[in-house]
Amino acid sequence: MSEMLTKAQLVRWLETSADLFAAQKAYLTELDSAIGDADHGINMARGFAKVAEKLPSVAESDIGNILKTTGMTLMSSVGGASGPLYGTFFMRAGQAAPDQDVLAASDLAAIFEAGLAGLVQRGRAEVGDKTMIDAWTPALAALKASIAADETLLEALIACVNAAEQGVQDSIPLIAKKGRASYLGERSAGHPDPGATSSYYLLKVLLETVKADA
Amino acid sequence: MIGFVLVSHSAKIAEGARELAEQMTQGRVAIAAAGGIDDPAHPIGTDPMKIVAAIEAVYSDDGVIVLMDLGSALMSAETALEFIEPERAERVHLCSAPLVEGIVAAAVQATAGGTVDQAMAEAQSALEAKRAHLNEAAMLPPAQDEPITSDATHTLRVIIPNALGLHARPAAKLVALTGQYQANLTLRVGDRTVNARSINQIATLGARQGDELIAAAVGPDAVDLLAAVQRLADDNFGDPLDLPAAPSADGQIERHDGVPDHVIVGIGASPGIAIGVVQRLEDERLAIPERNVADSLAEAARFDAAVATAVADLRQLETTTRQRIGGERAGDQAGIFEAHRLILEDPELIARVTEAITATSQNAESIWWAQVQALADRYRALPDPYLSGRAADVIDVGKRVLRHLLPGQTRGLRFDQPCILVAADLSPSDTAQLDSAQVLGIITVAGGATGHTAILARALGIPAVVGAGPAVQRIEAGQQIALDGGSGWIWTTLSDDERQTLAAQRADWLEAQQQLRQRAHEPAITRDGLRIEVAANIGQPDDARQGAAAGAEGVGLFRTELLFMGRESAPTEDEQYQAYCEAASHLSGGPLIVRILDVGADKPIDYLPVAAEANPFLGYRGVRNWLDAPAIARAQLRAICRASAEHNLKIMFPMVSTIAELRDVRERLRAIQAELSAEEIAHNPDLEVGVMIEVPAAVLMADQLAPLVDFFSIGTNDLAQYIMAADRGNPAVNHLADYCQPAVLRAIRLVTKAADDAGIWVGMCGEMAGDPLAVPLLVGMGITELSMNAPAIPAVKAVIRTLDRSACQALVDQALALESPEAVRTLLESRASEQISG
Ligand SMILES: Nc1ncnc2c1ncn2[C@@H]1O[C@H](COP(=O)(O)OP(=O)(O)OP(=O)(O)O)[C@@H](O)[C@H]1O
Ligand SMILES: [Mg+2]
Repeated sequence: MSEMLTKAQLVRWLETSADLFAAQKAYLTELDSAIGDADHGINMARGFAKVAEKLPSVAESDIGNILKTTGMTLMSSVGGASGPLYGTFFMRAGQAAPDQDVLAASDLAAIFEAGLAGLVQRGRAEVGDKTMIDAWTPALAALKASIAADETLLEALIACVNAAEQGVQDSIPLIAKKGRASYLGERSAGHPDPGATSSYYLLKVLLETVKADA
Repeated sequence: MIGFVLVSHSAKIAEGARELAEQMTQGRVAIAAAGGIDDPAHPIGTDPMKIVAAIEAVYSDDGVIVLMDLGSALMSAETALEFIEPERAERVHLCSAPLVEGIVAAAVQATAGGTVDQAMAEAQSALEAKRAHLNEAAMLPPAQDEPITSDATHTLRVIIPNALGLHARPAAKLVALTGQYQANLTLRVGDRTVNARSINQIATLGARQGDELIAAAVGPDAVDLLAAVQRLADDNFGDPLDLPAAPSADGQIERHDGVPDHVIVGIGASPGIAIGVVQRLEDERLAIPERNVADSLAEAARFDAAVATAVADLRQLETTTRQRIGGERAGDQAGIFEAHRLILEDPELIARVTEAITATSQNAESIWWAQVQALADRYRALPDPYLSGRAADVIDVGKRVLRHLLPGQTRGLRFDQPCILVAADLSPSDTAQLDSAQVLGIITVAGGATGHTAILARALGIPAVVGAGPAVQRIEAGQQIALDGGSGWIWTTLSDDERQTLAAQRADWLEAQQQLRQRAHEPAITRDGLRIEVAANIGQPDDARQGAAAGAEGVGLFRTELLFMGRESAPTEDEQYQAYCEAASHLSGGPLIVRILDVGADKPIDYLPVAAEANPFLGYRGVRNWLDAPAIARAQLRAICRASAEHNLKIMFPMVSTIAELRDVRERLRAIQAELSAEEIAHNPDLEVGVMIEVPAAVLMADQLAPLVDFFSIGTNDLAQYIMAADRGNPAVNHLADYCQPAVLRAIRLVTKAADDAGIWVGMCGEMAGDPLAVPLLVGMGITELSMNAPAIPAVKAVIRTLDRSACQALVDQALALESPEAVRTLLESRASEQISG
């Protein structure tokens, strides 16, 4: 099993994400219709369709550039809050990427960490505000813990995805403090956060991409 | 000149606002609209790149002001700044003013040559004109230091007339009275002033006879309120005029003919003599978790809900105590619960807790407990013994709320030393958890001989006096007392003679108990030669050792929930395997029946979240959710199967209500067994499988379930509740959820019949199995395994040895024909008194 995430896998991850968001467009929009403005699935599908269009032109460049292009593309095509948020995430991730064609698990953790810092800086949300931060924060923590415990990339990603999924579950009872859902006040409790869900999907696709090659 | 950018999710809004402002500025100011996104199908949204372009279009070194609508508009604008040259970005200002009003005000300011700061300030205050016009200022909350109302303050001075001063009852009367008026009333004694709506504050004033009370009222009906206070004072604050000492609700010892002064007489509920130091329920050591909560508002709401439930409990206890006990005692006993309720209905106390929760984001239970203790300390510090005794009530009430805040966690009362436990009332679950090594005797204020506490105390072999009235609340913690659970006498002090006599009686009683315990290690065989297996219910592996020490021949119910609770992830297969093996190792080859995880919304586990349910009792619990948690199910099944290789394990499934569920779990088990075989891991392929019969549906389908399993185990606690549709935790109906109800007996009969027809054995693992009175019925119905809390084992074995099966069968026929649980008990009691002496 490869202990590195290759550039090809990274590209495949982003492409597959586009497929997944196209398939889950209705579901994510439905989640957003419960506590938002019913556009998250549409936004993510549109943004990642654009990313998939762009990818071939940069697939040969370095990982940092692929991530930055993804960020730029999302930024200008998503349309909702998740545009600047995911846009910033991938931009920062790209800036933190090492100058290599592969990512070790620790590199992956480092670029996610940079991305998450960007998310937080952009959205000023805290854990518990019922946003995508609630998926990313535990996911990153689990990823790092797993790496610290010398687990393989695959194991670390499994832990990471499980934690993200748990984060989505844990977002259900929360009352939204940020984003559209915050206008609903207490009525936002009882539904998972759409952005946390899409974040979990992204990680899940990454895991599956790595698993497929394992 | 300053330039402007308008950001909106809607291109039309951005464009419209631009047009509106341009009407005023007539082209003298550069305004660019950056609205919507380039998706004709879904044009609503914001696009940072559009904003970048708009800023660039209107940029000058005089600066740019960006106005935005909501949500992503802000984030997109901030993002846009990152794509602009830093020197330029410094001159771009994001402005929080409202879009339409803001752009008009700021753009006009710009045409007048204003700076960016001036234009921003104009935009920020753009709502003022609108507010002024709509007269909204009037709706704003009043400034902080303003007096609440300018009404005059009316005052009244009275000298406290009654002998006991403002103790709990007068305080309650004052609170109730104030509640009928709109005016606010404060009471002052000496240099302390308190809110008359707060019972705790009034009572802790410590106002005594002869003190001057200054009542000050403010509000529309202040005069009437003060007149009512005067009337109450004239009425001696509701106390009898000739009261020489404490009224009994505050602890006077009642007089009975021929009973010495230092003896209180209650109802003898569980025979035996106990001599020991008094501990109150409040002395129980509690570990209250302290943690931060993410959402303090939700936490405050959770606290409010717990208080509301506790208040409802107390109301129920009050009415049922009045109804069910009747007579003079009822008033006094019910009064306790009323006083407790008033403590909880104190708005000051509740507000303090709620505020502290929101201010500190700490969990409700830690804040509540700290406040309760502070309040109890204030009572304790009062010089008046009747009032300082109220501290016990405060703690009692505090615990009641805690039980609702920490459902399932307040299990097992623990004390530092062996004691006689005194409590206002003991919940059945509290009682069932008592350890007879720690609790030598039980005394309760309320309750009767047929109450749950009494029944359980008997099973546990703990002497008990119930319904002793409020006088016992006055017995101080740490005092040496004695009780006789037969006669119901409580000696609040002991002369040397009394001590000697009682000690001798206790020795005799202990001796009898000891004989029971010794014989508990022998099998329990009826007189006609039928062996009944007597087993223990356990929650953790080590309980099996204690069970075996008490005479258990096996474990009839291993509740595995404890293995799963209080941790962040499920126990691994290996951890569980160890636990099951350890439990089995204490049983010298005796059977260990492991019940798979049974959790629901009432006792959620972090990693197996069950959404909050209106009715967890009828909800997603037992096999219902276990079946949907494949990873947890798999690990538990594998652990059980692996442990079955070396130990005598059986597996049992809870909450089964359909044949399909049983087929499903059996299939799961079969698959796991196949998996283990494939992996060449040892396990017992003939592992016995049982279902727990606790849902009425399972009773009615017992004939179809029976051929699919190896055994049934009847869980009478839930079964009685489900059959009677009555919650044991609800004092208004808990007397219905009684396993002596003929309906419950008939259900058991149906189950044993079906099992008999299919040739499988039936056990019982509910409370009923440990009730010596009920055992003859169970044996008569054909139950061959009884599993109970370990302390009940000796008494149950002793009863079994006196039984004869055909007599028991006749007893069953008689009992099934009766129409009430009382009639069933009377029948069983008369049989018991014929059979056993001593
Ligand atoms: N301030 C924030 N910080 C982090 N995440 C946020 C923030 N605001 C919103 N989100 C995330 O964005 C998700 C919604 O994304 P979506 O694409 O539907 O944007 P939107 O809320 O519709 O945007 P808009 O503000 O344009 O209406 C939310 O579920 C939440 O996870
Ligand atoms: Mg949305």
